[in-house]
Amino acid sequence: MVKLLSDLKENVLGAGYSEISLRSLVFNKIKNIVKTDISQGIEPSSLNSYIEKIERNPYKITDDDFVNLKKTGFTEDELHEITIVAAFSSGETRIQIGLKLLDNQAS
Amino acid sequence: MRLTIHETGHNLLQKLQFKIIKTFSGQVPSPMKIISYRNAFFGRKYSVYLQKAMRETKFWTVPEVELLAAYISKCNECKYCISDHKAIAIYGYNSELVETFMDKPENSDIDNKLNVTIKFLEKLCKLPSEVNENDLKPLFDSGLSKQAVEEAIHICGIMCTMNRLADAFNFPMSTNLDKLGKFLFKNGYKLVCIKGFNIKS
Repeated sequence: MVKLLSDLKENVLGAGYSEISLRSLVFNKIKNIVKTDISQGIEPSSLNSYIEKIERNPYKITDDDFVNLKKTGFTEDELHEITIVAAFSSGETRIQIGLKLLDNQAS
Repeated sequence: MRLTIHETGHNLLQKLQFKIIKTFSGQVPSPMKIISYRNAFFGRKYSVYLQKAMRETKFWTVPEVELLAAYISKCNECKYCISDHKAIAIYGYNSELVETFMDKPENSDIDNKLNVTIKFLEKLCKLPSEVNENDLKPLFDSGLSKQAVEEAIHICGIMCTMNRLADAFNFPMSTNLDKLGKFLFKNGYKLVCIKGFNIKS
């Protein structure tokens, strides 16, 4: 399963409609929040607040977040990818934290 | 849903398959729409992972997996996933037990292994930066193996991802929950990614 996860990570940070560097920033921003509870700002601000919500309180995301992101210039395909990367990072980072603890316990 | 592409952007074969699914079940589950859309990007591999983590566990039974999934969704306050996974868990437990477990797990008549596991997973969901090795102790004290804990961690990660996709994309609540629950209980998640033609990658 770990191999499947790493293949998935490679996929979502690989070819796509949105810039790879932006997806990488999003992935790492979520990873930092999960691991350290510290946020690093990313531009534009509409994207920054959206990514913060995805990790911290996704149930607070509204239609307005998408309206603002589209106004900033993001296409639907870009938003599809960015959202998947952020949500995947949230789950994957927790898995890595849990598995690392488990390995430390066993060794 | 918030993006039009998730309603109308699928390729022709996928649209045809969705029509068939809708005819038989009354709805196309929202996760299926997201996971199938441009599935080379995410869904194709994710559906394999999903099936493996949620239906090919060596330690946890299907109802236990679904109960964990529902409880993690509660930790993340995801109404859509709470409702769907409860509907699946009910095929393994009675509804009263599921409701009690969701409300106050310690009051439910359930295996202690599940209780200690959800306490750990709740912290991994809500306070991941504060999780430490001491949090694992009750799990091993209850007799859980390393493999059982590893499986639970993967279920937690999957739900943390799916809960966020559901809320971000605004999945409408499922209808026909009985039918959906029964189908997913029996068949798992291997059909969640509708392949179609891979016109767009």
